[in-house]
Amino acid sequence: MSMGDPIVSVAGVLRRDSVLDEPALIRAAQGGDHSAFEQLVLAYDQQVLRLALNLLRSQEDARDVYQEAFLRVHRNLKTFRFDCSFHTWLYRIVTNLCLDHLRKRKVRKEEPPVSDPSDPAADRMAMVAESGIHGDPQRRLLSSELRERIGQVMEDLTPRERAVFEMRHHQGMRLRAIGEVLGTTEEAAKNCLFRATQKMRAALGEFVS
Amino acid sequence: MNCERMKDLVTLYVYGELDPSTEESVEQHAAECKGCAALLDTEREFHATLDLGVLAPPPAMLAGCRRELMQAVKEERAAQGRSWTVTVRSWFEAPWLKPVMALALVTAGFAAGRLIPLPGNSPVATRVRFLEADGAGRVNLVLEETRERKLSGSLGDEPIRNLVLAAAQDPADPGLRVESMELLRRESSASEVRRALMAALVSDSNPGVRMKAIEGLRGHAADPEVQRALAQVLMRDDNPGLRVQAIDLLVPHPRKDMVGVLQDVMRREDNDYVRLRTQRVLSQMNASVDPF
Repeated sequence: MSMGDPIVSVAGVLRRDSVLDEPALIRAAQGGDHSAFEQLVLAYDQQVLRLALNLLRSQEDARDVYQEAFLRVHRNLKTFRFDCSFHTWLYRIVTNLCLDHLRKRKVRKEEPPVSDPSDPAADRMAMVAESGIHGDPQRRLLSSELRERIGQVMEDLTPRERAVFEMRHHQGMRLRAIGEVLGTTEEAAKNCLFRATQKMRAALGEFVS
Repeated sequence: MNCERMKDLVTLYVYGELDPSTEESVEQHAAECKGCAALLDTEREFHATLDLGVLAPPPAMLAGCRRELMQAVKEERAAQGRSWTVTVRSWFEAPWLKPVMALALVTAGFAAGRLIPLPGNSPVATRVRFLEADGAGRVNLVLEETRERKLSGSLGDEPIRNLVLAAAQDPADPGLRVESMELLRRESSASEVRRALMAALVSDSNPGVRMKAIEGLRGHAADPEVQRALAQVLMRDDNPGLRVQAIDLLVPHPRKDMVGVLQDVMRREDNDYVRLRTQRVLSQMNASVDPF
């Protein structure tokens, strides 16, 4: 299987619950089977890129994290012992990389590159922001302002609050699984989610009241 | 359950993170208390509002990431191979191994000369793949030799064409792949050549190679397989120039089974020209711009 196979078969692979025998695939990839590694990438990479993009809100940083995360998987897959799910292991790698990025950003106190004008594809992000707001121009404008505001508020969350919020709200992961990924308890993840939503509620009051 | 407790639980309730008995208590209380029912509605609305903040990576970004990753993996694998060679070389450079190395070279030259007779003055690049000492003063080696050989012939000759097809997939040399594509496009009437062009079009990491490939397919845009490859370019390629070429090739050959893809393009595409052309072909087919 190569990255260039028809869309249909790629979509087929992505339905991982029904199609992939994941443990067999992991073992094959551990044994050096490159196509098995590619299938693992295809099964998870959309979600990984989405998580990185939403956490970092920068296409460039998300690309870096995507590449580094899967290269680490490639280098260290032989050490994966099935002590946890592959999903948890992969997400640990991805969130650690994202948290490092966010912490460095805080230290440098750099501006969040939400709408980097030098990024030719920056406005494309807005095109694909997931909203059901096609027709009504007024609503579209409001949604666009709101989206921008949510992006700003995200910058005020701590990296950990942000990670928990993204994984729970946008990736639909359970708090217990998020705790496993972040190496903490379900209770601590719950508190993080609570703080994150409180901060967002306070900051978005004008839009949601 | 009381109203104060509701305030603490409402967020986790909307996320579905309460245990079943607490969840039931929340629902019972909301059914009896108008204020808390309103609180729950507000929380649901807030929850839905936060959905607006989510960003989905554009398909072209994902395709670009995949290409870059696979290229990086290839390079890493190649580097691992090289580091192994360096390790072997460092053994050879160790002072205590120098006499063995000298012996090895003599043996290698002798063995190569004896086992692999080379024609005329063909230049040979030799690399030691494996070596071991047997304890009795002998060294065993495995050599890998690359011999330069000149061939010429027409692309219609099968051996020549097969070599060009192989060069078109050489991961280490994009320049060679571009040249190969340039040659192959002249022979695109052969189905194996078309397949190679389509494979390069949808999976080569180098946009120059993909551009040559699409040019080679220009005369075959009515072929359903080629159309599927063009559709993939429209959906996944991060290079707008390639997407422009793909839609230009698809427009004269509208097919009903492409409607879904074209509607998807309308939803995702940010290039005005591609959008305009896609819109036109959809209207030619009497298809709506948006999927129902």
